[in-house]
Amino acid sequence: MTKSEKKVLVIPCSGIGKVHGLIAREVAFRVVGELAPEASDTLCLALLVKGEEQARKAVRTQPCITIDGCPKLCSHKNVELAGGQIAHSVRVVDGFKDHKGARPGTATTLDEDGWTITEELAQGIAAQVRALCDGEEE
Amino acid sequence: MAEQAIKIGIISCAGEELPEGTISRLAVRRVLERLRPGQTVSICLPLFLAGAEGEREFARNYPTITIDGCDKQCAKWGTETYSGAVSAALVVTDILRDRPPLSGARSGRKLTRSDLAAVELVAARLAEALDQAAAASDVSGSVPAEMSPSCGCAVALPAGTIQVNGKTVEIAGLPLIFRQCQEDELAPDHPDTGERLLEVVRVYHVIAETEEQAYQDALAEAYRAYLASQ
Amino acid sequence: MADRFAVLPCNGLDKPAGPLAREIALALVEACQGELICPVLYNNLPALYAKALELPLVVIDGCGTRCASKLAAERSLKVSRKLQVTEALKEMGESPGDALTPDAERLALCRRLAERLLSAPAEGTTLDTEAAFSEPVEYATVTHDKFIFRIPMKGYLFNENHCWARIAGNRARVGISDYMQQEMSDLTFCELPEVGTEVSQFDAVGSVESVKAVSDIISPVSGRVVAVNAAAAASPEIINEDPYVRGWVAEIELQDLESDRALLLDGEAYLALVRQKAADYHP
Repeated sequence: MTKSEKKVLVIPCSGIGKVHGLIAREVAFRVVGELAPEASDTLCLALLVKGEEQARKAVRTQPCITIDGCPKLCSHKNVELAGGQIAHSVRVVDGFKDHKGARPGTATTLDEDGWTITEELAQGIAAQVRALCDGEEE
Repeated sequence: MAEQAIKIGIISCAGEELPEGTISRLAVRRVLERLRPGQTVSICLPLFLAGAEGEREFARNYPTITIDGCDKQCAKWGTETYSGAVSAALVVTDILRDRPPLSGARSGRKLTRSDLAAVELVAARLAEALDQAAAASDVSGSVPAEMSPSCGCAVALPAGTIQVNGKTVEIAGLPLIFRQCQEDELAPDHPDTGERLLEVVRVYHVIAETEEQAYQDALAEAYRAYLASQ
Repeated sequence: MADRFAVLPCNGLDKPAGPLAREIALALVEACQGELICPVLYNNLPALYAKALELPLVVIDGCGTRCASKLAAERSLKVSRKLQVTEALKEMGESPGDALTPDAERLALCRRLAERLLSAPAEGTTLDTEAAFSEPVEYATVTHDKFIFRIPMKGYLFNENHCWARIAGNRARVGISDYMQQEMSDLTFCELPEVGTEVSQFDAVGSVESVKAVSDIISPVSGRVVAVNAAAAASPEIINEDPYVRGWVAEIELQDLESDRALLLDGEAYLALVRQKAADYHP
């Protein structure tokens, strides 16, 4: 358990038009809600872009992991523009590289393949969260 | 004559910090897929905010409804900032005010029956707002498909044609552009007429640098013909 | 199978171009599953890399001092491809910047330069042909709702399977159209044909896969495959981002373009086809 009061912010793009956006979102919820709840939190990307001061301060003072559904990198770009410190930038499309032929579902609901990819990505990010927190302890 | 229905854009927040963000997202998907299929276009808010021109252009030129999870109304703010006024702005917390509180779940896997009922309610309100926006739209009913030019701005505008380097080119809104120039008393033989017309037309139509002079000449000639026909 | 490379970057630490050379090397090694050579370790213990150097060698210098190239020359290594970062960036209208830690924009440039190295001209391709394939393209557009489909109006021929051929001399590069890449959504895999394969018009010359579908790439032309775009196989999103130039899939030495042409659409005809299809477009 980290002694740091600074949680790692896991910020998905949540793109509504593609299944990748849904996976990004579900990955974030799995990490901050179940796998590393004491060490991580999420943040509304739109609030950050809107310029809300609390959101901007958070990304500048806490390590961030962005999760983007597609190579357009909306989360990464917007967190970076807000001056955020991005420790890791994750792309959901890369999660498909070990799942040729996968049928993950739709932008509304995930199928079994979609949840499998979600879990793999979430486990990887949870490990990154723990590593970031362990790094702070040293 | 083939007709093309006007589509309404929907921009939803998908706020990750509150369960209302999930409700908002799912309600939009419900409308897109079940309640009003083929009548709406969902606009991806992160892409919209990151500067995607197709998304912003659509919201500029079509009626657009926003739906936000909470009263911070990020989707409404984004649309007004980058594209223009919205036709309607819904807020999930307002819609669900008189209902039992949400379970707090944000993941789609953990939503309760009550949460899903909330999605249905929000979706129904969204569909109503959509119908009202379609009815109130300045462009009444549907538009003949052959009036839809290839540029992205102006499905509802009539198109005109000019001859550029021996080829027929369709230009969105050309009759209206000519009418405006006529009202501005732009003389057909003025040395700047071609350039003026080019500047306006290229807002709606991609023109390669190498073809600018040809377009200028063609537009000036077409404008002369338009004035002669009035 | 796409080529693998041994990659020798310079070790520049005190100028921005050095870290960029490193990033390009890392991207290239990942893309081609190649071998990375540490210049300092190689200088001290060259035997460690004897196996790796059985692969074709790519040398990446950050700046004009060309430390990596000099090391390769000292060791009499045969260099297959090379890149000098500051020169390459200058050609692109870019600069290495001021920071020793590359920002996101420069990391993206590094990935593009890695792609360029992977897609370097095939043996036998003349400089003129390469230049012809790199010439800027003028597009017409078809818009449907928020979707904008681009169609190059000159120099490209299309089949009704939404695949294109860009002709330069006796060569053609082929790929999928903007309409097709949007219809498929984000590509996750791209299968390339084997170099040397003989293809007839309308044969499959590779395939692309997304979460929605797998689709063959139907060659508009007949001939022999002389090069493939390994960068597209390594990062299929290139095809989504730039389907008509960087997103090419295979280069074909033409057999009978005049016969093939009779069954193909030019830019105007394909524009008309996309207009029809766009009306039914539901992603």
